[in-house]
Amino acid sequence: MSSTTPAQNASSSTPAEKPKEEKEPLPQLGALEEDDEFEEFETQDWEDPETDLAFLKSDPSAPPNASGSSAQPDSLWEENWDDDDVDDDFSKLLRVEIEKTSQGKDTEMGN
Amino acid sequence: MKFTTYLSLLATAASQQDTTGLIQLLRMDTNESKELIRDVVNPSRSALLGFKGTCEAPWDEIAITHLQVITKVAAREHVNAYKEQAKMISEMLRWFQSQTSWFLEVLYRVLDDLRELAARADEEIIEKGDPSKQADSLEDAARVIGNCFSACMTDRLNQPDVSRKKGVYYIAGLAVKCYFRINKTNLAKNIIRAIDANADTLPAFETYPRSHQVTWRYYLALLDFLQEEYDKAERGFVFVFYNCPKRAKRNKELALTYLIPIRLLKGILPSRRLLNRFPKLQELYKPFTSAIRKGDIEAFDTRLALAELRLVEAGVYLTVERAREVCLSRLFRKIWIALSSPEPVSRIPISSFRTALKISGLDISQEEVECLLANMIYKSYIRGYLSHGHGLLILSKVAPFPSLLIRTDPEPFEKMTKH
Repeated sequence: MSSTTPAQNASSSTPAEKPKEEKEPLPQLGALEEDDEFEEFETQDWEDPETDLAFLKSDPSAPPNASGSSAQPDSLWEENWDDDDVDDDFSKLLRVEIEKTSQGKDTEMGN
Repeated sequence: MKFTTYLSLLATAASQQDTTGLIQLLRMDTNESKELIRDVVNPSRSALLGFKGTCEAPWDEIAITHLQVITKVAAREHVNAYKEQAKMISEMLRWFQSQTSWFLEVLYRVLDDLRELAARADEEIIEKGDPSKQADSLEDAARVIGNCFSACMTDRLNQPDVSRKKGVYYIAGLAVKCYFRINKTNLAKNIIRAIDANADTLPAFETYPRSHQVTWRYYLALLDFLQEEYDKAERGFVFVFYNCPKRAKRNKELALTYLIPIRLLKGILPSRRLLNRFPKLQELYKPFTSAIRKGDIEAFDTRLALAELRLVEAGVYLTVERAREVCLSRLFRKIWIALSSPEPVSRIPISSFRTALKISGLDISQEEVECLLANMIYKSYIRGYLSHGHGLLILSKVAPFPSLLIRTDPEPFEKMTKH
């Protein structure tokens, strides 16, 4: 019957099907239940060397430095991390699989 | 300590502007307050009324009210203790309007006690479960703190170096802390508006103590974050993270908790060096950054399910979930690179992407793959267009996968149609 609702379908499913629907509960990274309030500082004021301000000049938000060099070795952040390695396992497997699926299909690739 | 002794100590400390002495005499958990409770036989307000006028106003009334606070705290009647503390502060406030900035240190500390008592009062009401009483002390505390804020903001008499305006950011921070506690962050707008509207009459922000600057910027950034104003929030958290002293580890950790997912969206990853300093953040975020780096969508999805509870707890689940498309874009780029050997390709069958996604653990239909690609193009992760008829993605010859740093999100649809 086309008017059968999903709910009815579910209730009529056989018990044998049920265990399949119930997924294994994933292990969870538990909540920490920490106080998330910003803490009161021990002192009202402090000096630059007590902070991380020395790193600020190499932060991605900092304007490019005068020398124009983009290498920022002491940054706490990484901006250019794209990996161009074409010989990792994924790339090899991918080429093999595409070879398989495109066989006989005469798919044109490349330019 | 006899009440008469207390009265004269208080009045003397006030006349000598002895802030340390006043703090000792006016906070709730000090030796002085213990001695007072021990020695004053009948601390009720009516029994002490006779002392009114025995020292300079308003310190007689403040002393009597302080005694009510500490006896209620000792009796564990926190709702009543809170009310007395609020009353004491309004007494103080009338007098404070004629003072310079010297009293601010004392005001901060009695406001700390006010907030603490309000939190305990709300807990007490929730525990007792009396439906006729509402847990509204924290909200009331925010109102009292707001009055103190105004008393600082409206100082038009004193010179800048002794102006009550020096207390503006610290007290504003206290109020916003209350709003966050009671989940009424929209109320913060009034305070922010007051600061913005009077910005030109305030001393320069950099002249405030760093603790005031950093705390205020933290709460502003958090409010921006909640509004999904990620660029503004990023600037705020950057300020907080770098300006916080290294020893304030928890505060730095809090700033990074938000800054890291904001930056994941821009393809800026925390370095190993940074994460090593914050083990809890390393545990939470390292798997996501590794997955993005490798374009490993399966690892990303597994991790998202695994860390859901903690991400929700930290209030960053939606932001990290949005970073999924960054991870996906790296996967598409990786596919392109794998197929571009030895020559770069610019026409790729959608079916190849489907095969690649399947290897990567994402088994979806050709239509869904096409939809993902269309979304990637729309959001400028990919430069090119789809040929639905030929089942092809045709890539731009120049930088088909532009750097994430220069990518910008398209205008949200509602914004485009609003005007």
